[in-house]
Amino acid sequence: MIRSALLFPGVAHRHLDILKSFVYRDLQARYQGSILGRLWPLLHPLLLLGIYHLVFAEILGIRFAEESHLGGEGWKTTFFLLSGILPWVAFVETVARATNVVVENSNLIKKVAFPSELLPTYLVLVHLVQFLIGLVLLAVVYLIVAGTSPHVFEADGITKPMLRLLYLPIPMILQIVFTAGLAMLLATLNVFVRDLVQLMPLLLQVWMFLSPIFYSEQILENAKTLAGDWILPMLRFNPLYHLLAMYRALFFDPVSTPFPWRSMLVFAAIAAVTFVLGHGFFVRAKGRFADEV
Amino acid sequence: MSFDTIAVRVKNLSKKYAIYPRPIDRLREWLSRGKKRLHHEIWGLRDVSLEVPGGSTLGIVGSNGAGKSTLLKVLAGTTMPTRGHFEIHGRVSSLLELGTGFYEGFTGLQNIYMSAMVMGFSRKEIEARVPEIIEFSELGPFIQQPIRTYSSGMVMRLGFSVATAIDPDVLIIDEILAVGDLHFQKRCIDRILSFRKAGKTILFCSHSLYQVEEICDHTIWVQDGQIRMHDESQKVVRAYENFERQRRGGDLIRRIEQMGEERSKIEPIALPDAVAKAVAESSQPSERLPHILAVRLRDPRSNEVVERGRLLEDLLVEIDYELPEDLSGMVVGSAIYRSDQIMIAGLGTNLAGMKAPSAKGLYRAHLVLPRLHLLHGEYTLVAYVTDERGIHIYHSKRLPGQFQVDQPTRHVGIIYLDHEWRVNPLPEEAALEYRRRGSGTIAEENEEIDPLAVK
Repeated sequence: MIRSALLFPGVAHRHLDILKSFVYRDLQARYQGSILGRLWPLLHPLLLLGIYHLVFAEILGIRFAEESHLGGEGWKTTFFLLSGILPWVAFVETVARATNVVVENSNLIKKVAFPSELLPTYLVLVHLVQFLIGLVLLAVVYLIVAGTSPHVFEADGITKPMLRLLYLPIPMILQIVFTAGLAMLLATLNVFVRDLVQLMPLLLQVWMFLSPIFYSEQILENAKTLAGDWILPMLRFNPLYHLLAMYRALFFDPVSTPFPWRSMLVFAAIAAVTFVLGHGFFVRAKGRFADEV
Repeated sequence: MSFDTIAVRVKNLSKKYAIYPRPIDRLREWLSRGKKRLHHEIWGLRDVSLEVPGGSTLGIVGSNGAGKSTLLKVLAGTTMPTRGHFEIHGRVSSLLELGTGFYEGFTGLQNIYMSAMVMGFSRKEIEARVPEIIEFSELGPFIQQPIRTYSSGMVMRLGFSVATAIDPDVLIIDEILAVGDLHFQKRCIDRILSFRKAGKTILFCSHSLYQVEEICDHTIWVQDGQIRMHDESQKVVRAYENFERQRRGGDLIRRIEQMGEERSKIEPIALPDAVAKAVAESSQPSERLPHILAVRLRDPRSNEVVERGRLLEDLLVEIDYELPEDLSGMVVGSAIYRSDQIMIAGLGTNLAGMKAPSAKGLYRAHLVLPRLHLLHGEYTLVAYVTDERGIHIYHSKRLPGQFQVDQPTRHVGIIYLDHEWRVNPLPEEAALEYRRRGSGTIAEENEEIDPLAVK
């Protein structure tokens, strides 16, 4: 199981052409007929960033950092939110769509001998493309803020915040591994238990609220509500908590907190196990797909 | 590849489908860890063994649901066998469906890549063949249009062009040639024949028995998940055709029986009475009424009793019957039915303008069928004796079993027709007339001369 999981990148690489075509097809289908067409993948995160900054940081004045006389905490709100929302969206869209991907492509599964692992894989890539564009945009804005007002990150210059960005591939790669594993697991399960595709959107929504995307751990600690009593102790068992901790250390708190290596190790372990299980399950079951879909 | 190597070897292949009455039963069975058994099994294939020599073309015939497609799917690798194994030597390309992987938002050209890639070909291989694919598809400038603008025929053409442009050693084709216009179908067949010429191994499944017979060196007949027959294409196709006819005939009998039951309730329907009578083995003879003693076939040349006839050779039907008392008149007759209970011919002495003797006594009637016009297949023959108008049947008797007709020629259809061919140059003035009027005259010509076409 581990061996075949390790061989998977090779399989994906051999079929890179198909994966590329699938990704291209998906993006084309999404933006087909729109006037701005290919600009949308860029426009979307840009508008998202603008809206969140305006609504949460400026209009509602929500703060995740302590106020100081120099100002600029509003930007930290935006970075906090987007460094949670962008990875979450990439994750949740992949997983939600992957659940049904085998059933949806029954035609391919039934009619050609075709490595069906590529189906969930291409979905990971589709949303990775959009995620990357969003992250690059976030990083640019982040660098502009860090360069013009370094005090926001309690830094003396742009160097430290910039160096921290070099860690970005770590959470991204781990996220891809985790997402791909879960995508394969759910895609397989849904072939046999079709209820999953109905259930997933609800489950994912619950998962979203249980993850520190719109709130920080601190907020929970200070909360005098049930959330503080119930969610906080569970937080560390949520893989996304560890993933988001890494993104937050990059975009929200790049100077005063060290990179969360502990969280990285925990998430890396979870991601590896998820992938080995998901991939193994998929590969073992895929021979039966054609009979079931 | 040559005939002496085995390209496809299938050994004891079985494929089981588990059918669960409700989806939850799958879960319950799984949770019970083998204690409960909530599914029933359907065997799509049972213990199929087969060897296909390299470079040969194997036809696959059988009714719907007999297991043809399951076999091809297993060989194409889209589904796994439950038991047994198979090996295929060389590269396989399967055409289980045309236009696999097509996406309607893509142009024809993009879909060529898309489809060929999911079939397992690299971008490089496809690139080299793109011009040929476009040429064969005859899509011309449409190739740059999204295929959602195509007609279904155009999509099929593109699909076939892609699927056969690549160069497999073993080609698996399932029921795909029923598409497109006749012109394109012809080109498809030509292409398959050229594959055959090039020494490729082809597994060809089709409902067109004619195509199977024409294209395939040998054929298997799949029935209930098993190979019922594996022989030369012609033999297998004949046997299968016959089986199908009988089955359809059986359906007809059932329908008639049902109608009979309902007769009391509804208006009588004009029933093919002769069919019903032929189906009944024989009516009960009455000692006091005219009755048939025996029916047999003879070869008129050797005068020997035979069990089979042969197209274009004489056949004799011999009917022995008894008239227990003098009658004012009577008719002796015989009817021949195809295995699907369609009456091919009904022949009676009255119809031939002959007066059969009606005095009390024992008789032997000879019905001579010169140059038998029946094509290959199995037939039922019934002899009967009736009143002088041929309406009241005193007694009918069926030739025991069925009789087989063999056919050395390749004529097709229901029966043979006496005919001759003459081909001559067009008379001068007619030729001139065509030339004068240019093309498109044929349709006009027909309108002019066909009185039925005028309302």
